[in-house]
Amino acid sequence: MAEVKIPIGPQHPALEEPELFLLTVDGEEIVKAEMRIGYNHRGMEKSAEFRTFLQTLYLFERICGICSHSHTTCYILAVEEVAGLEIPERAKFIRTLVGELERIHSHLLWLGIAGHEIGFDTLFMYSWRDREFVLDILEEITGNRVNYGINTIGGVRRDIPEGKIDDYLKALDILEERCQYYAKLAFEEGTLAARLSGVHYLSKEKAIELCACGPMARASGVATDVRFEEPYLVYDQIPFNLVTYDSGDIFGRTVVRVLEVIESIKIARYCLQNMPPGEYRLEKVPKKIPEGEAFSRYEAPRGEDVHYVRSDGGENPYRAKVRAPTMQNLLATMESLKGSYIADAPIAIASMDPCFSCTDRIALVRDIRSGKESRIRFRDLSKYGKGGER
Amino acid sequence: MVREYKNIDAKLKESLENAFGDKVKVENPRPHRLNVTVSRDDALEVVKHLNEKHGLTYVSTITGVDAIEHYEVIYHFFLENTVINLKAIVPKEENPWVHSIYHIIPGADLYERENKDLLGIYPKGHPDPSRQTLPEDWPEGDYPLRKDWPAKERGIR
Repeated sequence: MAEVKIPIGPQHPALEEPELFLLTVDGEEIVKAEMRIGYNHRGMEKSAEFRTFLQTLYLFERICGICSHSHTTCYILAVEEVAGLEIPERAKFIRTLVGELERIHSHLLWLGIAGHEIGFDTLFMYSWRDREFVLDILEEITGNRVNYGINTIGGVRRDIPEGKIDDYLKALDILEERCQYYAKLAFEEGTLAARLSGVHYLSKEKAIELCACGPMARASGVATDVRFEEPYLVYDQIPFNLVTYDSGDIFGRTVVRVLEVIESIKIARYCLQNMPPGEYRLEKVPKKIPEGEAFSRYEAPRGEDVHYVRSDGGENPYRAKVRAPTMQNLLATMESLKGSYIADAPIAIASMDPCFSCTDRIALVRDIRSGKESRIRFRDLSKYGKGGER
Repeated sequence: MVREYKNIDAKLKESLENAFGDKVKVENPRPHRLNVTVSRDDALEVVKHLNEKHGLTYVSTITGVDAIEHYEVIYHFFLENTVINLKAIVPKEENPWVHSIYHIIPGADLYERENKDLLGIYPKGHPDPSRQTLPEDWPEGDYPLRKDWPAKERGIR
């Protein structure tokens, strides 16, 4: 019989991203998996060369709709290293806090998607409902549900709202209880284990050989986590555990992500309780960054995010390089697709948590009955952005 | 509480300097960072050495830079809490190339092809360096990350 090739993508109902996965099948089994990326290449690295360091920060905020804070933090750590800036301790705590809240929301989002892909829509509804706790906190702290824009060169843009910390801690307590329930569900309720065990298996050897990172590697028993290996911000002070699981399948990736949410809640709680008082940004930051180069790593929700920044002493980056974690995990995902069933392909591709943009709410509000629009003037928006008005 | 981390910077520096002598320039700008500069021809040997003697398997990414006088291909490796930025200097020539490290570290596959697409640095010895990053209808020999690429005319703002 002739080879049967099934393309998934670049546009496909089971895939939210423009990527092509070309699967060669023998009956139900996938015997060869090829891919083609680049359908959504936006040329951001080149654009960065024509923008100032600060403008590039906001450009990189938009690399991803979910892990936007990861990209900006990773970029800004490199910029601050080149510039030799030491940011205030409080700013480090706020960055860590927002980063962990982002991880919680991203993992819960994934849990919902995974539930949906395997037809377990109750899980999808529950986990997305619980995700709102974190999004509400993020909105209060940063002003946005996604694309927070909290980072700025030399610190963060605004402080934690006063008198709100107890409310956040309460919300985190409820969320932790919910996540304990999900963890229990994964181990005790048969549906998840029955559907996900043994699916899309990635051995530890292959994970190391193909340089997998993040939850995908950790679910194959590889103890890799940038927060542990090379602590940035304040991770070297915070007690938390590295979660690994050795099943190597999608069930393992689910368990790792759920348990990681619980660890992230602990870190967020630690940040809220131990945040030192004081300034949250440097008063004066140079526009021109001295000549030099820096490479920084950051543990994004999907794995290791890396940025490389070089300055020639001017206002714009000479070269800014971005590598998102999904790119690092693609090879391992393709390798594991071999031998999987074609019906498992959607959940298999989703299991590496490919990064797709989620939509934001809009700031313009229209009253349907009266047709009246409320608009924010630029001056007020600018004031709001600086934290003057809430 | 501040956790302590194993630091093998000095050990790696010594090992590289003993094995390659003047061919490598090793800097240690801050703890857990090694910047190694070599010529393009020696880069593969350095990677082999790190792989065989120290068990290097992980590459984070590969950055290509057009530094006007020459190209730089920077391999970002990670080995036991140390980031090794291996910078290979590629002279400006009509068809610049580097040795592919695919056979030592398969995880480098996509990044070598990305540099070929965007900067035109060919990974010699790569089994399938077909186009991956740019669209199919992008003209051959048109490399957007080169500094002489006419960005303004091509609509970059």
